[in-house]
Amino acid sequence: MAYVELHGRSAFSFLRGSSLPEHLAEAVAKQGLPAMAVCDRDGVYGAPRFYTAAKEHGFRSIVGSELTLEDGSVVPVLVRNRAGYQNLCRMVTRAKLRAPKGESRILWKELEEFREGLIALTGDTEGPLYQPVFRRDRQGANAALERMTHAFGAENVYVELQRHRVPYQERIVTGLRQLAEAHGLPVVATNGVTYAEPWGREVLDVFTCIRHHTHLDAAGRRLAVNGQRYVKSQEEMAALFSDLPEALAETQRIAERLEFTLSDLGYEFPRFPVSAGETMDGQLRKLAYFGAQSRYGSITGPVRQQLEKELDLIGRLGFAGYFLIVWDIVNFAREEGILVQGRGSAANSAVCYALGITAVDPVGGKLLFERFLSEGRKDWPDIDLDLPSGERREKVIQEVFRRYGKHGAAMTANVITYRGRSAMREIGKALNFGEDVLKRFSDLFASGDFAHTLELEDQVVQAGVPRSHPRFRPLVDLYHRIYGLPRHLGQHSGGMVICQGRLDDVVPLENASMPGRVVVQWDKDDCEDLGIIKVDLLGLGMMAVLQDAVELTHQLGHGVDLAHIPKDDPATYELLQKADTIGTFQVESRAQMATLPRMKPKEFYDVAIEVAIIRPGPIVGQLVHPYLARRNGEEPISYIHPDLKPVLERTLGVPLFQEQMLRIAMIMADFDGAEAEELRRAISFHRSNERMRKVVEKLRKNMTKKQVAPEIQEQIVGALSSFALYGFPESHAISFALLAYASCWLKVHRAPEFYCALLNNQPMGFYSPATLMKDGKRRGLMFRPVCVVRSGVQCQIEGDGSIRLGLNYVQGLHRDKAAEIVTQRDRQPFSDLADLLARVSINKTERRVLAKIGAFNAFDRHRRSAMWDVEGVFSNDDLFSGLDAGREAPLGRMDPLERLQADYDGTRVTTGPHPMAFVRSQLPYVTRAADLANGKNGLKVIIAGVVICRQRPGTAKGHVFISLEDESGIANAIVRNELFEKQRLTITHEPLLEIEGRLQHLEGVVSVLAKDVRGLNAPATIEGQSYDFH
Amino acid sequence: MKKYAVLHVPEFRLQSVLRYLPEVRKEEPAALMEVQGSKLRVGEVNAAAAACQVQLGMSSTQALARCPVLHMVAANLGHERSAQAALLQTAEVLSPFLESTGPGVVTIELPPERTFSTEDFLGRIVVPLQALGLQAKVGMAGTPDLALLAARRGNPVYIVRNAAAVLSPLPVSVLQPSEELAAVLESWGVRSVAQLVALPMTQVCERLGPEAVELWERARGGRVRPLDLVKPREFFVEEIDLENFVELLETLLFLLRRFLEQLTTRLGNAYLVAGKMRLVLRFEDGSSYQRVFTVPQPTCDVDVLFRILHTHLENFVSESPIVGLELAAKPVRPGAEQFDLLEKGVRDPHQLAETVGRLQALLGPERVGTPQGDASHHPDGFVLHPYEGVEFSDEFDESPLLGVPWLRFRPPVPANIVLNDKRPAFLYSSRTTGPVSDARGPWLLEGDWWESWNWSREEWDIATEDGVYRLVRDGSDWFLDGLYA
Repeated sequence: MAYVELHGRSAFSFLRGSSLPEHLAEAVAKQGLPAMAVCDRDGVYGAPRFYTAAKEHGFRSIVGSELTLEDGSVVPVLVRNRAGYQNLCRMVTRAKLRAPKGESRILWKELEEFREGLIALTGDTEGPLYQPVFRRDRQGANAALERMTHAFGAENVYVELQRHRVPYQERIVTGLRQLAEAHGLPVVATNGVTYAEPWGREVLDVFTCIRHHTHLDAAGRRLAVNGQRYVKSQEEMAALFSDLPEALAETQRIAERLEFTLSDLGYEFPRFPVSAGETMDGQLRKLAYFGAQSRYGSITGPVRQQLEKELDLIGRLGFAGYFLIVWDIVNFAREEGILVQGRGSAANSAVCYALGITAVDPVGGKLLFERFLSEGRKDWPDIDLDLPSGERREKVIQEVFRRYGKHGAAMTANVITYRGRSAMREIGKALNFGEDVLKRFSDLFASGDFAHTLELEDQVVQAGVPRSHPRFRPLVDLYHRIYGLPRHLGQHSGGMVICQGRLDDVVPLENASMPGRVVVQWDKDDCEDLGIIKVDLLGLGMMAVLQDAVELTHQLGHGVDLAHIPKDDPATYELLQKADTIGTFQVESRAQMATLPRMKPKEFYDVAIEVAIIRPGPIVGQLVHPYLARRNGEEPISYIHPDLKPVLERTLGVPLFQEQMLRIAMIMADFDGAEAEELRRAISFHRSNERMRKVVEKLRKNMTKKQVAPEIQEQIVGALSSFALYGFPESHAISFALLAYASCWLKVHRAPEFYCALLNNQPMGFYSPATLMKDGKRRGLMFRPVCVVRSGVQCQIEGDGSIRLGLNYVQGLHRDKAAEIVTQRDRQPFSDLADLLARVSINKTERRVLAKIGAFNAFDRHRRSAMWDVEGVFSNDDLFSGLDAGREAPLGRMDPLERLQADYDGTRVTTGPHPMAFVRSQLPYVTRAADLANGKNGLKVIIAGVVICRQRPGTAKGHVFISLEDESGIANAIVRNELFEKQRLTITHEPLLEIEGRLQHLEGVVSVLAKDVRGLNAPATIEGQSYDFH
Repeated sequence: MKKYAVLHVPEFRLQSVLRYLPEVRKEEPAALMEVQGSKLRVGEVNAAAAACQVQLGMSSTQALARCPVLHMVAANLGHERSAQAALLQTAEVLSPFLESTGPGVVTIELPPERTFSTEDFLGRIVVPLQALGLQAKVGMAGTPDLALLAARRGNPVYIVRNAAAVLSPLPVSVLQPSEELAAVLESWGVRSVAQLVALPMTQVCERLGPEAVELWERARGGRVRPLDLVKPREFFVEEIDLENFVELLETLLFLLRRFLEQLTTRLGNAYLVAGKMRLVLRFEDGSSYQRVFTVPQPTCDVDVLFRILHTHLENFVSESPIVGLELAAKPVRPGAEQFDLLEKGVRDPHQLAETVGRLQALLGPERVGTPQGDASHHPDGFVLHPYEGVEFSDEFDESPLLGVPWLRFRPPVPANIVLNDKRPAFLYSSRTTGPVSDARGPWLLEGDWWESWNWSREEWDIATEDGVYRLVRDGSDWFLDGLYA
């Protein structure tokens, strides 16, 4: 007789369990149990991960869920068959969709409606029987049990007994046994598992505090009595229930009734509707050839061969419907005038190119189709679509919802985990640390979760908790334990799953925080593991910029077609070589700008390499330097093996792309399609080291068999390991390079349109609007301030080619009010300020800010006179109110510094002089950014400016890259880790800095190696100018 | 012509806290932190912190980035009240007509017939307040508002002879406009009082409303207004600075008895009795000791009051001789108290208070009180509430009884246990010895795992020949914890 644990909760019960499903599975395997059920609260959140882990460990995972009922009681249910699973998913979906996010209440009568295929346990302390039994309310207990048997049917209800070595628990067990006997129901033993190992209890206690908004000192009896809710062995359970062997035996009998596993999910991708007598394969073939004709002009032999090869494979794998559906979405976007482009490995497919899904010709580019789709592939190929971020992408998403129905499509979830400051904040609160300590700990992270060299313990000490503090150790230990546990479920940025029929038969759906969005309970990896197809509809700020810029070029009469801009434009390559790339796509980061002058791109493929090379993978794999050295002739070109020359020739012998890795494996280790597919999954799958280990083992074995020298094997395996972390397919690089090149081309040839579109799509990219404007000014563009007589809601280009800031830049002016100003003005121009104030209902604060930034200057002599006027007694209801017509304001004009401050306060940008211009005379010892290029390498310099970017890439050994902007340009500084640690807070919190150091002027790249960093008093209060730690 | 003086303590909230922190020296940077919005920000800074560029409104992190040695303190209302009382008491030497205008500001209507010089204010106000740890400024003028402005400008004393000359160069903020009004004036570029009064008054007031009218008035030196007079709280205080240090209890008790005789006489004259007493002892090393005694039944009986003090001081030891002492009595009206039918007063409340006081002196105040079960899982977990006499409660615990009643052993009886298959099989103890015929358990309890005093215990119910016992294992030690009835 084997014990089966039938009632467990994982950390995906959000604050009600403290172990990941994988850890529970490890414990189950360690204890030698044949099966276990994970019943997460109001859903099946942890089920896929538990299923995958159970498969790896060789035991059976049972699907279940704890359901919160309308009266607050909680009933665990177990799934018997697919009908039961579908019922569970539908029931949870219904409860979730009618409740606010994070809540769920199932009605008792719904249990009856959905009971088929489900088995119910009576639950533990939150179960419907516990309270009446505890109170010795026999009548109440009978009623509760009758209610359950009525709902589920007596044959599907089991009275659940738990023993956790808690005093007085035996009284409950006795009461429940008597009740079961009286009703003729079987009893079943469970341990109500909430963690894998006993120490999980401490994490659970902290979670309990978080859930009850209290701390450990005050939580009292809400905390666990002991740590007995771990995964117990059969022997331990047998000892606990030695007097009740039938309760143990029942676990196995129940497990035998439960046939369902997640492999039996019943998911089916939607069928694409085709006309009578037509098949999806046939339809795809027609569309592909039709598209190829217009793409290629004429279909050449190689193109036909590739199309045939792909169509044949797509047909055999049964993926035609998928391609058609993606084509359909792309078509919808095109019809709506929305720019769309496929990214990722789909660009390796000629069919995708022919269907207009991708913009890269894989035949001409000799791209490896197997990276996208291969014979051995069991799961669905990944086609990600880039769309302009914002409303246009939302339109496409809503269209998918519309087509497949509320229960047929949903976004994939994004599991937000405890990490960094969120983890420490919650733990710190639970341990009753003060707000000040938690705030300082958070501040020490600077911004975001970036590679972080400050050791946790040192960080805690710096936050004000000495090592001798009695709670120092618990704080640090708990942080490590809680790190990575799920915190809540978010929404993936663009991943959508769709289904033939009802998606809520496959996975429960729930409301996302965003109105109109529905999200599944699983993340994209879970969906992929279970064969559910995801279409990524990703929002890309640059797509929006490109689309807006192109539209503006047409409005201005010199329209551009992105598909036909010349790929050999010398001015564009000159811009790239000079690293004048602020505001462009992918090549604007500090690291990219430091590489461009060395890389000196001369042709389009160089841009693709540039996009791919400044990535963590190549940087960690130390591939950047060899590539540049070879390119500049400083190092001879060699190939890992002579056979690899055709594969590595384009990248000068340095493997940069995933496709190259697959080809290397095919050539050097004779990997066939299925093995290449394994390798592809290993390098693109983020969660399993095990998968990678197995592939590497096979690779080595095959290479040894082929007598590949050990040192060559090492090189190949080394490169592979880098790719496992941050793999980047060539096709993806080329797709991104198209956008990068287009953005650079527009910056050179259609600068007003490009900058105008950039300003209208903020925030995005690496730089703030203020920096983009300064960059535009350096290119000779003119920016004009907000004006109620001329500005639109958005920024726009005026007749002289200058860019007029839009009302969208006015801080505190509601979007509707901005639109109202424009509408009223279009109806009839405003005759004066009084006329505007009479016709547009803007409040006092809005009036003040518009006056302050000079937006009323068209009516008044200067900003202050407008400020005087808007304070006049004025009311729409007061017939006698009005401005002092004709009377001159007694206030003096703003001086330039006051205007600067007003601009930053009111719009966060200024069209006037740079803040540094105001303090320049006080800084005679400081070198201007533009003058640094004239200095010699090693020169001692001091630079100063507004911090516009702080970066601390994980690959830079803790070094920080700071960009300071002054009136002449941007100066870059490198702060070594040691100096950063010493002056961490100055560096991360001062808006203006003065940096002293040595000039590094090498290969056209200029930067300052910092020796000292100081805060600089700002001439104005400047906030939010720096985009940090991307 | 009337004249007014204003005492002003800049950064009053910070100063009122720092005076209790002698370890923070005046030249060290310090800032008062307060919650603004949801963030902790700098609310006030001393000169040293300002010199380190610590500015108002900065976050604590930013402030520490500028000045790593910054002392950050939180505001303390109690300290502020004490400091305000000290200001009022000090001001009383100039005139009985005082107004507690605001935190750190006291306005004094001076006797018109007298003249006051800078030295007067220095010697009688500034220096005495310095001794109390408060750096004050004083201004004198013809109106309270102007005197306040002068005080803000004082170094540390400013006597106004020409109102316009004083006001014009001052920043508009000295007129204390509201935040919104200040923001409007700032955006108008109006930064000094002179700039403000140069504007057309009617039009400004039309735009900015009644507050602007008041501001205008202040900008012109304000007006004479009746003060909202306060009377310093009437304490019955006796104090002495000793020329000869007191080192013996007898001498101290002798002095205190004399104080009590004086105090009770004064109280008696006012038909009052002492409800509380506050004893302050000042020591040679600059430290002091303070203790407040609640008189169980307010009285003027010297013997009773003396006994309270005597009981407490019996075990009092100080490391430094006493150089000064103060005894204050809080006056209350003698009350008549009647208990209800079922309530019984303590037979001798003074005796009880004396006993509790003696226990506190012996054990420490944190170890005396009424124990009440806490909300933890520890079977013996409790918290101590201050003893407040016998209380009756109408509430009954309605939770069902868990298990059979049993008699707890206090203290638990140490035991030796022979285990068989990890279960108790034989018991040796001073209470009973013999084989264990049945054992239920173990029940496992663990708690406070985050504390250094974390605990875990194992409980068993065992049956022996002479009864059923609760057996407990704490670490490796066994105890009999009780006997089931």
